[in-house]
Amino acid sequence: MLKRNSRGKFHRGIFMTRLLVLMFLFLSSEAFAQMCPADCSGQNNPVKPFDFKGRVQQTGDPNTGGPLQGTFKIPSREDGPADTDAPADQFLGELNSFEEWSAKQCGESLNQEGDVLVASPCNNEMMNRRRAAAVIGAHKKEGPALPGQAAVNQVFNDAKNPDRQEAQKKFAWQRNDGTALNHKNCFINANFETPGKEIFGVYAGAEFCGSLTASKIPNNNPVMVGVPKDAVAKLQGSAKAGVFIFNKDINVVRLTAEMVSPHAVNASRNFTGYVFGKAVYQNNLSGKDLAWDYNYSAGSVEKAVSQTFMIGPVPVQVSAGARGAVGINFVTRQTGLYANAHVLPYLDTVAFASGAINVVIAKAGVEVVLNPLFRDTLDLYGLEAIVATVIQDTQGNKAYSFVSSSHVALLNKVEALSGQFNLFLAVLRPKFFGWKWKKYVMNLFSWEGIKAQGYLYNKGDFNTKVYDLK
Amino acid sequence: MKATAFFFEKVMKKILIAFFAVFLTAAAYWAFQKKSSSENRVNKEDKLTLFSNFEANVYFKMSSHGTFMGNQEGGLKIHTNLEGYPVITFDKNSGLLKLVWSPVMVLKVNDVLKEDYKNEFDTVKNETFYAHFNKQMVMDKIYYSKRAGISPAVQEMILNFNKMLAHQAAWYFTLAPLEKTTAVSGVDIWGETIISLDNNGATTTAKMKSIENKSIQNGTGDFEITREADGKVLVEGSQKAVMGNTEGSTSMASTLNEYSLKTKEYRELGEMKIEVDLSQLESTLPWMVVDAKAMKENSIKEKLKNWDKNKLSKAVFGFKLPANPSYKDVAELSGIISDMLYMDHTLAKTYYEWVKKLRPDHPLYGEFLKALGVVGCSECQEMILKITDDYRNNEAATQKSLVAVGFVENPEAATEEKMRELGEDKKFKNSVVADFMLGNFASALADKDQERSKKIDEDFVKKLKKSSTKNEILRYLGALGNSGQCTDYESIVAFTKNPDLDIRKDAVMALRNCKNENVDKLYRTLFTEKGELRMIIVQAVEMRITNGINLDQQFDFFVKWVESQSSTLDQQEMGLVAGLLKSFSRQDGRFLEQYNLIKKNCSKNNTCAYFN
Repeated sequence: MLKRNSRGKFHRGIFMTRLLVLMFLFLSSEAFAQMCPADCSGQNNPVKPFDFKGRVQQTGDPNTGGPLQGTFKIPSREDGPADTDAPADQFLGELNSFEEWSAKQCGESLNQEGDVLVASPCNNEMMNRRRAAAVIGAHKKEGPALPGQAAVNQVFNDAKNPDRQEAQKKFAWQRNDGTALNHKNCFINANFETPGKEIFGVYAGAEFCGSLTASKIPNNNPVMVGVPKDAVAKLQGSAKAGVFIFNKDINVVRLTAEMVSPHAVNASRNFTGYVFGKAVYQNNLSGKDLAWDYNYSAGSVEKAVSQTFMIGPVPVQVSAGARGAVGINFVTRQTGLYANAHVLPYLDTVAFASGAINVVIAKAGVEVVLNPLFRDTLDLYGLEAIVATVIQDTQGNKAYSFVSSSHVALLNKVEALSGQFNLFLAVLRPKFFGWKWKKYVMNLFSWEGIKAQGYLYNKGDFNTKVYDLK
Repeated sequence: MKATAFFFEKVMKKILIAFFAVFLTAAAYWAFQKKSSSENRVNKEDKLTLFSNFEANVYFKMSSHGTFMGNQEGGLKIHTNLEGYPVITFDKNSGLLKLVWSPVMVLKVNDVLKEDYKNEFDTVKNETFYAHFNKQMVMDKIYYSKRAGISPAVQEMILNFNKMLAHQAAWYFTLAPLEKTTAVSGVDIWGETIISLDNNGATTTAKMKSIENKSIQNGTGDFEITREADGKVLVEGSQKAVMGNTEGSTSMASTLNEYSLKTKEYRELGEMKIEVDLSQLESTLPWMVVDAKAMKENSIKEKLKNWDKNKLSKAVFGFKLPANPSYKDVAELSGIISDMLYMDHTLAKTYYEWVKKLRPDHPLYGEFLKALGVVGCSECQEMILKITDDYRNNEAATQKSLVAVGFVENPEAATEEKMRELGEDKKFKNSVVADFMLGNFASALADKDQERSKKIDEDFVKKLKKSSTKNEILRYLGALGNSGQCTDYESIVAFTKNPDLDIRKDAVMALRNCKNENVDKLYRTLFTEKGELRMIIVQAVEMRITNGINLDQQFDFFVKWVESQSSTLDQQEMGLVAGLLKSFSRQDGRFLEQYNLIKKNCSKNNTCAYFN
């Protein structure tokens, strides 16, 4: 309470003294001392356990003080009355066992006031920094930028240039060395996963290849055959994203995709989307000019995993899981010898948890301080193309070239909101005239907010290979 | 008076402030030191986990404090699996093989690594490095068997059991070589017997009791421990949940003796073959058989204590609709929507009325569908189907509602019928999705109503056989893949030989959930025939791994393949197979060793790029 002096101002001396004393008490209190590293890892000084069973046997029923019967009433809620029957022997036996553990391992009796932090990642802050650094470090900024849709359309329009057909009629396509075109650009298992998967983590990854192939033109001689008939531009790969809960891999979303754009026949595409291993979407199509701009959003499904944690001698079951929206955006364009795709599977996850035990002396629960949330979006980009271009000099002379373009990239955006959840065990013990609860808390998970964006893979030969038409 | 007042008002106050400032600084410094000390200590742990996969160079020497075991001589080459630190020691003098858990780990590293890492450890003595662990850390990578014949529920239980033991870190047991064993036992930190092992000359049976005299494990573990003529130790199918107590200070021996184990033995060291009668388990292990429903409800009640229907209504209809709503806001509200419905199924009808007022592109529209699907109650399914009918011509809206109802755990007969009708309505734009979801129902019903499950699968097989177009074939292969019942395995296999590559690929995928071991054989055959199917096979196998189907067989095959034939794989295939091996190692810790071995040898076949 702040006091005012005669001039109506706060009595700063008293206020400051109290403030400093409070700070000192906080810094030196048992509660603070029990924080890491002096947690229940055996570094506290053991205290002598209290014999609850013996005491109750001496003093009688904890509620009435009368003779101890086979059962007595205990409260089921912290602020509630003693309304639930408990077997006396079992209750007192469990209580003594827990007291023995607490006294030995935590150096604290159930009779002492205050919560006990049983376990916590002692280095939460550092761990969070490391987690954030790991996520950010996995996302590289360098590499050619993904062309915008306008730039892609421009290339596509070039490919549709009427002169292209004319060029094909008039000119042979050939590399000077006469070798076949057999180019393949892959990224394999480009992925990232957040640390801490033993409790809760997120991962995303993909494998993706773009290829341009064409057979060798015989004899290294210029021939008037146009682009080889067996030339093919192809994009194929898969992307996946999921979560780890208690180290169990839950593959939430997976996309397999293949786009084949041959020169001689129709282009085709085959996309299948899986949620939790089940196909939820399929798109198979073939045609001369396939353009596709589509947003698919699947209703999400919830998956939970259970795990037992020990708080002292008491096993506590925790169920945690992920639920969230899963969706895929497609923007693709295909025609002969041209395949371009932006595929964006995304994953939202929300961790939730609940806990339970089955012992008489305690109840367990989960305190979700903040929901840890993750949103991950993968931008899977691929372009494989052989397109004709017309080069015009200052005198207006036209020359025809084929340009081979290749670019595969995986741009990842991850956003996480801060959150943590704790597991607690509230242990009930009799006190003089009534009951008292004491809380033992285990920090299971914490995460600081972070945003990261960058390439997990990015490689391209955009407009770099020009094959002269002869 | 004035001077006195001045003295107290000015001088004394300054002295007091200065005194407390100094005091505060000292306290803060003390706290900082304490914190730094904590961080330093844990920092070592963190770094330690980074190189704990140097299993080839890691040797353990463990002992708990003297009361139980004292210092033990000997050490075994052991695989440390990141955060898990199972430890096996072999005492030459007593002939005892001991499995212990301790928060103190000793590493002996080779000369190259020694200088690099010596600063990471607490102490270094005779080239042996000592690091202290926090025994409360989660030991999440305990090897466990996923052999056929053990139900997923039991596997899960075994895993949980192992983790629980690891977490408790309060038990240990001792195994003796077969020729010497009659019976041994382990005691907990309070001296109570928790584990006893009986040996009949061929098999060691483990019986374990909890620290509170409740039986926690009423099954049997098969232990076959033999010593070969050259002194090597063979352990097969052993129970390795392994605990030692390290109450108080620890003591270490400085001499390590190396005992090498063959790869096979080494891998199997961690396997557990435990058969548990679940009904018996339930009676003896009340706290291991969790009442999941009660568990969830308790937590939800706590979360919902400040929420009711009216408040939710206000939140939903007062929800601001910026161009890009914060997904945090949506997600938090989504949780409340789901939880309220979970506790009160009659809200399904209310949600339906609310959904009708919201447009399908409203960010909360999907959240209501999601809640109805996740809770999956009978009323919930009915309401989702009503929504589907209301928006029957809206492709995006029906897509969401079909997927929402398509993953319910207990599809009602009426829901199944409706899904069948939507699948057969060729004018319905999402009829393919409806068929896929009907396939899901066959999978969901497999354990609950085999007759319905089988009929759904058989109907799709009939439709597949009658299919005349490519798209029809792909549709029914997709539905059968979701079903995974394989009532007519051969019919699907026939399509793996179809001239159309897309059909062949989808046929391969359609077998991914089929438990029939012939699928694995077929995959191997198709994989060894170099061609377009290889990549899709790898993807199908990865999905089998996630579902834990016939893991051992597949792993053996792919490891051998990579070891012997990797030169035949092209760039993309090699990368996929490397990813596959990593998936194996995630699913089952035993495989991490082999994965790391292949990774280590990658320079021999120039495949290191795929293992980064």
